[in-house]
Amino acid sequence: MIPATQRGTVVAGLCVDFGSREQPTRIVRDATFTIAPGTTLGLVGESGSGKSTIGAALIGLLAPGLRMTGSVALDGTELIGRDETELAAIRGTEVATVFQNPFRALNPSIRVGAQIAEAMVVHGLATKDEARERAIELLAETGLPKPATAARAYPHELSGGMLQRAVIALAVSCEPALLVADEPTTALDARVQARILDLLDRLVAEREMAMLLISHDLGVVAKLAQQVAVIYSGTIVEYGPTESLLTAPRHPYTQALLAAWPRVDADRSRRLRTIDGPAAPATSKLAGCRFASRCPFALERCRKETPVLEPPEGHSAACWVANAPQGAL
Amino acid sequence: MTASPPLLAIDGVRKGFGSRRRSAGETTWALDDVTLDLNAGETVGVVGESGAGKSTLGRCILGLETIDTGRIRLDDRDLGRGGRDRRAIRAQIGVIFQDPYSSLNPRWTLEHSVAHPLIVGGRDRRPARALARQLLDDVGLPKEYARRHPVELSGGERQRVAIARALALEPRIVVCDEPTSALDVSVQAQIVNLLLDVQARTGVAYLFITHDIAVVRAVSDRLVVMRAGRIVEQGPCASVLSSPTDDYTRELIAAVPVPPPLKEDYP
Repeated sequence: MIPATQRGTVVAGLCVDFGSREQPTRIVRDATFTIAPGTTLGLVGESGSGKSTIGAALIGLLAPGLRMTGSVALDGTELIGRDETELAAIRGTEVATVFQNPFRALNPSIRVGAQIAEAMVVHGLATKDEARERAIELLAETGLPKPATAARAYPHELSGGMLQRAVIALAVSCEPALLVADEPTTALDARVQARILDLLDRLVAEREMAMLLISHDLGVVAKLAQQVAVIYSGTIVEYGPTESLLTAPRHPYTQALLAAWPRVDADRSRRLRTIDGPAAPATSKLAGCRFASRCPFALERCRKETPVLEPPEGHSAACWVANAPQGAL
Repeated sequence: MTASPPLLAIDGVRKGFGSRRRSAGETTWALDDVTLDLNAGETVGVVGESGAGKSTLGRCILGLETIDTGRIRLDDRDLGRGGRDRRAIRAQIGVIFQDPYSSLNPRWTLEHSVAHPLIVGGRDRRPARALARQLLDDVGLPKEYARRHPVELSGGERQRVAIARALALEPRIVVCDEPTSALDVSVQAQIVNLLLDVQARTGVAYLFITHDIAVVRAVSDRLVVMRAGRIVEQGPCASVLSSPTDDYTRELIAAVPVPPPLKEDYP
């Protein structure tokens, strides 16, 4: 039995580097967050911000040449420092993943049910016969109307939405502590997306999994996540409860991102807010706040000293301006 | 709206794909009896899910597909016929595609990409290039970009080039097929604003095809909702979104997750 204090996903000081060990190039800086069992953390950012790299780090699937340091504990099991054999055992049982494109996530030449069953057999959780039965149960649990038929189907015989349900069934088959969902509904139509989001929400609650939901879509994050982390240029710049973060953002980047989000109820005549200048590449070495060059509020200090995110309790922003005492500026 | 004829009139258009067994009545229509007007200077948003026929509609207007029945007329001239002045009519309709990585020739400079429709249209090279540089400037790209190649550009910058090229022949209509779907939110906002600015300056009409209901709200005067090749609802954008009459439209709008409203405006 895992002590209650260790349950969930605890990520502390996670850094991802590449290049030489003497002079590494850092692409994820000091990511720190926790995800309690049965809850979802939404990780929001734009292309190249490092959100998918964090997801890959958490499942031990970083691209060759990338190294991670810090600590990633899944229900008390440390991920960092493991070799590939140990990671293979952890993957599936401690952490599993759902990617954007379900057609690429599955082997096109193996029946869907067999792929789900294989994971359970490999991890020694079931015999072949049990696993086959269990695969059909899992497909039923994900809401596929004819689970036995779906289990016998090849991936190309199912629609994108049905196949994403099958991928989710596969992901949860070995009861992982953490589910990393990287843009799980981005390739799907709105109505299918809504149903897949409902499914993920239900599975997280029923199975008491932690979920890291990586998305560029603030609406998707608003719907599923209890906590949100906003990542910019490889750094988490704001962290907090979803409602508070999305309605009263504190970091200027989050404010700009939310103001740029087109809203169905908006006045047609109002132009969308944009963010001036190019995003700082996550690889660039910069002193101070990485958003300073684009920030309308930047102070002298912002360009020199790196603001830090307070330990993630409550709602915090890595910003000198936002954290200045009232009236100090 | 005035009683003057619309700029573009789409009337009872049908389009089917693949082998057709008409006798058995089994044809699935990518477009089925689509009737729609586009007036000068306005934006009509076309929304729907994959396979609804949105892009096929755009491609039929552009002449990239032939229609099976019905008529598409620009200023009362039939686009399907055209005859000798077909090219002149077509030049009045520009296009911006979704993927700026595949819509620009990687081996051409940006200046050449933008000048190309002008040169094909019979302009001399030198003035065509000069105009291309002006167009690149109009869409907010720095001067030195004229000599660059697409590989040196971000997705948002490429889409600016695509917009410049679409405007080169001074079209009266631009078909925008998911022009911001491949872009990040902050870049999407820049491109949407640019399209709005261009429209204010030139009076071009947009047919704005997207799956994103929130984006369509930002640009459209009128909204068309498509499903399985048919138009299920159309009307003023605000009223379709706030009080849809069709069940499918209602379901589609309800399915889109939205972030809660901001407590204050950010500058």
